[in-house]
Amino acid sequence: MKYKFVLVLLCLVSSFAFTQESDVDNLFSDSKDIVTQENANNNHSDLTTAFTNAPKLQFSGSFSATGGLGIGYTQWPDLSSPLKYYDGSAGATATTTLVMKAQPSSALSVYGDISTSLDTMSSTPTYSWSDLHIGSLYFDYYGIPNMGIRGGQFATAWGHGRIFTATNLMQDSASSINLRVSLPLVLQGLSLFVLANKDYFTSTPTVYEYAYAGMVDHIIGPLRITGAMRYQKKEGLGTLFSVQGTLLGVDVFADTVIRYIDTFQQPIIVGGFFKEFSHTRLYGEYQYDGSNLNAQDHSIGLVFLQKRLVSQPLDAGIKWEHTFYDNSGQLIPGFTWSGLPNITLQVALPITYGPENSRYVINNSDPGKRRIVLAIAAKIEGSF
Amino acid sequence: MRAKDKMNYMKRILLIGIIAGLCSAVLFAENAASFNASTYKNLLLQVDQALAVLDTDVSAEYLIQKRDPGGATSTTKSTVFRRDAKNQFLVLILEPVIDKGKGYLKIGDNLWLYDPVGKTFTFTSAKERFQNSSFRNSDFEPSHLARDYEPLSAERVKLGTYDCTLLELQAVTKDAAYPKMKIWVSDDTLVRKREEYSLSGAIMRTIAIPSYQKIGNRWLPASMVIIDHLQSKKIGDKVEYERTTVTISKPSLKALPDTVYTKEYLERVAR
Repeated sequence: MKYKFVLVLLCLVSSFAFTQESDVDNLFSDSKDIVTQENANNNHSDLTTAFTNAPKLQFSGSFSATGGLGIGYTQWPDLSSPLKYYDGSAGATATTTLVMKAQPSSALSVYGDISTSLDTMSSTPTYSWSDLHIGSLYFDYYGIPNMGIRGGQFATAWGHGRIFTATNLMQDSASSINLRVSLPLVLQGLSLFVLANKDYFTSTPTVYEYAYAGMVDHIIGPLRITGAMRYQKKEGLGTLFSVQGTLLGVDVFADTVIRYIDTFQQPIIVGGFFKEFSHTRLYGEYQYDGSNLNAQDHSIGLVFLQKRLVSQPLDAGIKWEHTFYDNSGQLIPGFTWSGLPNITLQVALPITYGPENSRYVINNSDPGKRRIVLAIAAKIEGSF
Repeated sequence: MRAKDKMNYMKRILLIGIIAGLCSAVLFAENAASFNASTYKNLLLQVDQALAVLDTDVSAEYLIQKRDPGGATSTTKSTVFRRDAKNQFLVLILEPVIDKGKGYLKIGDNLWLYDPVGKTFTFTSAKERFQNSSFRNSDFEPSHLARDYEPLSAERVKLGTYDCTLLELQAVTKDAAYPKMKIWVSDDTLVRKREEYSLSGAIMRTIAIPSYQKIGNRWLPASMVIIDHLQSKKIGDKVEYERTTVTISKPSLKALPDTVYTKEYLERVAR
């Protein structure tokens, strides 16, 4: 009797252990293959046309509004007088963006986005919707084989820094009129640019006053090598050399910028790593800015993000930036909860440290320039 | 008398056990002696050839439905362009809306990821899981079993309606995705089931491909079910694993221009 009981128990245990395996094997009990076409040359659909022959005119957009409050201190709290540096604020921001995509033919497309916003929390608050602002407006032309041409107002970013972006030589491209010619089959991609910006010209634009730039990508073994150059008469020559690869399963990169204005300038170097696990993202960067003469301008930054904390729609993150230039920095821990449709609740505690007039204290993005602030906000957003 | 009977009965049981043991040892020895590695290496070559498309491109839509242990589900829809001859593929995410426009471009051993929000490319060879599912980026690539593995043993088995050869494989190159593998190959040289193991012998994934679709004289999977044994959770008295179902539709063998497998194209179509 005892043996029978053990036998039954063993059968039950093994049945639990192999349930999912047998589930998989059950898939084959009545499965059969599908013959879709007998002739390989017949009627093969071209899935690329879904993208290149899109509807002639499409409109879309997005809306987001954030309201909240922030309570904190403009200086570290004085325990004997707790309200001495206290500062509280409340307000809202909102942005509405409209996007237009037009495709007169498979060779030509036009893209544009305009937006309007309001912000009652900034240092110059606005209490009504702003004038419409053009974010980007440009055309793409693909009528020449193996070449793409883009012209208009659009943003281009060079360099790999997510935290430090001093190696992005194209930072002014979003506010410039650009012409880009791309040759995607030259090495791993060659792009040539001509840029026009009101800051370049003294009067009527001359050929010598435009900005000219080019970038080429190439893969050598496991490394992506990028070389880029930009010249403008007033700003001189800027060169970017980047190496990107993977080391022990971690993405790493190094960007070096050297400028030439009458003479070679000291380099700006940004290096960093990036690693993503299933719900975890970790990245860090180091920057050396040699353009800051007579100073050891070294900075570091670290970001840790954890999605779906305890299997809930709760994300946590912490960002830390520090410069050894004046020993200032900023630490921002925070949480977001997105358990309701289109609504996100955010809680953050930005802490800015360093001497008065130090880099992070001056550049503190909090309109009240608070050293420590507990910010609680609700955001509603959606696309249409 | 009763004790003598019992003794005889025990002797008989022992004798049957010895004979059974001897028989299985002889059978095993015969099986080991008859195992011809080169025969099964050829079978691996046929498996690779059956699934590789070297003279044109492959396009298809992939619907990837992931079910976490415990029940949470997510769905990703993407368009895939693949060129086996040059080991290239391009994947563009169509759904969910939050990921729409994200793209993957594989050229050789390197992968470019495109983020349409920041309009930036990330270059990596460290990204394995596709959209955080059990489907791996390497699952978009053609099979290289003959290059990466050598067969250790083989036996004939039945898998549902299919008569199969079950092969136990061991990796011989560093490009192999897993150190050990078992594959069930049906008589039409299609892999119907695959179990992937770590070096220590722990099972990592089980992949079932219950049906293929034939286009002209080429085969592509029509549906796949992937059980990820590393993503598990105990629900009550039962262990549940992450389960990913992949449905491949709108297959096409139309040749595509070279420019499809470029960052420029990814940026163009991801908008």
